[in-house]
Amino acid sequence: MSGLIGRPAGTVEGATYSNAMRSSGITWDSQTLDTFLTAPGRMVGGTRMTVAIPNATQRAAIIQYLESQPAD
Amino acid sequence: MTTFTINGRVVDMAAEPDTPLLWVIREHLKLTGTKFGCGIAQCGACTVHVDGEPTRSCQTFLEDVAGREVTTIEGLSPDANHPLQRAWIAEQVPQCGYCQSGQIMQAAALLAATPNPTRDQIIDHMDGNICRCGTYVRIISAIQRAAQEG
Repeated sequence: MSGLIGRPAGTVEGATYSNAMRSSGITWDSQTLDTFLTAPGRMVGGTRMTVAIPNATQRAAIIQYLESQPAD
Repeated sequence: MTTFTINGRVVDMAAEPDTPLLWVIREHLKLTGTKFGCGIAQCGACTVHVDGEPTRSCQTFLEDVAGREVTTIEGLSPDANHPLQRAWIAEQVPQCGYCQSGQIMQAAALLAATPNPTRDQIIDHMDGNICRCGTYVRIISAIQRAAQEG
């Protein structure tokens, strides 16, 4: 998850992405993450990451944490 | 007071707004088909639908569903004859059964979006629902059966 912000979705070597995520064409930033985390299946139909986070405060906290994790 | 719809019924819930939806469903509404598995949205046993989206109700709060539509295993079909419920019986899927309401709710969202999923699509979509008894093979065949029988 480090260095996620600004990285194209589904591009980390060795990670078990679904085909849907690999071909999603998304670049992760606070907006795409907020939309995705609200209803993953709706943004990337066929994603493996189906844990929806309806709570806006939780999403903001998650995104803020991810923004604080630079690429190692 | 939080108003939302659950299994087609509008309810006004007096519980605290930050009460986990899972508690509201089980303790207040006495719908105990939805189970507590981990409490941190990692296992899937508490999966319900919020506006059709499979959602972990242990980490969803009452305030999050205000004005929205919640569906639990009890509300999946009027008389428990949703194709998945029939297929789960035909394939004798459950062993202990604890994870199965969450598995079925996750699968129901899949079939609603993808009526004829491939085996890989099923595996991708069901990836986050843990089954301690390891009934995954029967879960996959029951979803395939439900997709065919419709």
